[in-house]
Amino acid sequence: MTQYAHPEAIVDIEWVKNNLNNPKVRIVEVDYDPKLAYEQGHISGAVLVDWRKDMNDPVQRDIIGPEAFEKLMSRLGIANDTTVVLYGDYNNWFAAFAFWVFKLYDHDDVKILNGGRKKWIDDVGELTKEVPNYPQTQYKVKRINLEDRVFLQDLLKLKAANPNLVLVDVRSPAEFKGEITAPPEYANEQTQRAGHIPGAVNIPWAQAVNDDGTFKSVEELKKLYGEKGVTSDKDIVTYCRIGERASHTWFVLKYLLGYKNVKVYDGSWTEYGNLIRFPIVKEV
Amino acid sequence: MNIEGCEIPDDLYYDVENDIWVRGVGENLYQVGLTLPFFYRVGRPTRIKPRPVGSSIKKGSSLATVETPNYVGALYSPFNCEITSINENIVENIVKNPYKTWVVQLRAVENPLDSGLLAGEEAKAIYEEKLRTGKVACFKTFPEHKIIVLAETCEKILTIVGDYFFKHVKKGESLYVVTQDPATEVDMIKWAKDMKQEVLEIRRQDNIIHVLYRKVT
Repeated sequence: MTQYAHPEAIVDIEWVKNNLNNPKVRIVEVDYDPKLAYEQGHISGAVLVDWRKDMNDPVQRDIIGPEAFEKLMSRLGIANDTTVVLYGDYNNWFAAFAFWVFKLYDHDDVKILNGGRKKWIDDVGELTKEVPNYPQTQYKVKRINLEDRVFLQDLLKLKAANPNLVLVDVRSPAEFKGEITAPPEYANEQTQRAGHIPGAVNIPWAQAVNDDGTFKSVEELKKLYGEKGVTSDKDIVTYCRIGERASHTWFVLKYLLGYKNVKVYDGSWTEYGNLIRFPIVKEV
Repeated sequence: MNIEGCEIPDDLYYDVENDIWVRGVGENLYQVGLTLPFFYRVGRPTRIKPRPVGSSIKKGSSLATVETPNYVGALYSPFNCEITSINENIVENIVKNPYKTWVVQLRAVENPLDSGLLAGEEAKAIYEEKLRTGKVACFKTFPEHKIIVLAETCEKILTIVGDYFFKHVKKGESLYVVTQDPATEVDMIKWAKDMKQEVLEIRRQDNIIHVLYRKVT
């Protein structure tokens, strides 16, 4: 089996078991719903990132700013040279989003636990409800990396001028076709219109993972994306509804397959599907 | 006994914190399963994967992974034990009959009562408190759908309920709505009447309203 393009971005269960007490490593559980996940039991020593509260700006629609990121890292006892291992619920959806944020703030060493919560419980089954406390650090954001993110205005320029662009819509087929604006359980993430951005291809994020929550092999992933024209020579933008599943696919394309030009459009459908006089495609 | 509509049989032992029941079935042999409130809390399971037969499991470690559309967690072992058998293919029916559908059978290597399990009556007061603070209630039939709707106005609450109900609930299925003020029981019942739908059950818990609707048309 071919090795992933960036093996340093991913660790397995054994690696985590062997590094539970490593002071240079911080294990972070990133949850959408901590009450049903972290609070019910987590990997020993793991700290919590509550995706809604900790990763998003409380006022404007944006990820947290650099100062808030510094505060968060310092509170979690993460220093600039700490190796951070992210894992979480929902097959690592939100862990992948956090990975993207860590990369935006140029954290050196961040990894995803392949298989997330599910694989850990399946294979190890050791969890704790104890919340650890680590000494506060003085984290400093040294550089903001803009390569992995695209805002609406730039997306529109890319769409108009770059024939090499591929837009990957990673939502469910029902959302892509326009049968629904959002799954029913996400009442706050509805849009005025249902459908997708013209020209986008639909490759639901979940097709990149196995039943046990681990990522598929390089061969399987290359086939999955290649069949829809998403190849290493393309300029790729991923989007979903609010940006978290898009960062999962971004991680797969950039770090597992090694594609160079991949960005997340985190405005995603909740931005695009609300624009006035912007053509969209609805298939139903 | 029945707490907040949830059946909690008197003749079992409980780890209330983790929603686990235990039944003695022979010398040092015990069946272990999940209580009805557990499923009302996390939803209908899509996958239950027990650890292999023969595994030695310490108290507090996982006997099985339980997964629903929005949850993945462990069935924690209530005492030090060895797994002697596992119950296959239980995902479909476990919510209908949670106390007959055991997940794993264990051989205890310590007296389970020394591990803090509570007998039915002893568990009652603790379970009552847990369900009230956790805003959990049960109904006579397990619903296909559940939404929690907290909004600023009653009108908005009913809009969200209606949107979900008519988009996602099929004829004959039920929708469990958890809501609170400014919605009232009267509003929730009137909505069903206006929409020509059925209210199967309604439960009140402090300022929380639990309503079970059924789609009839």
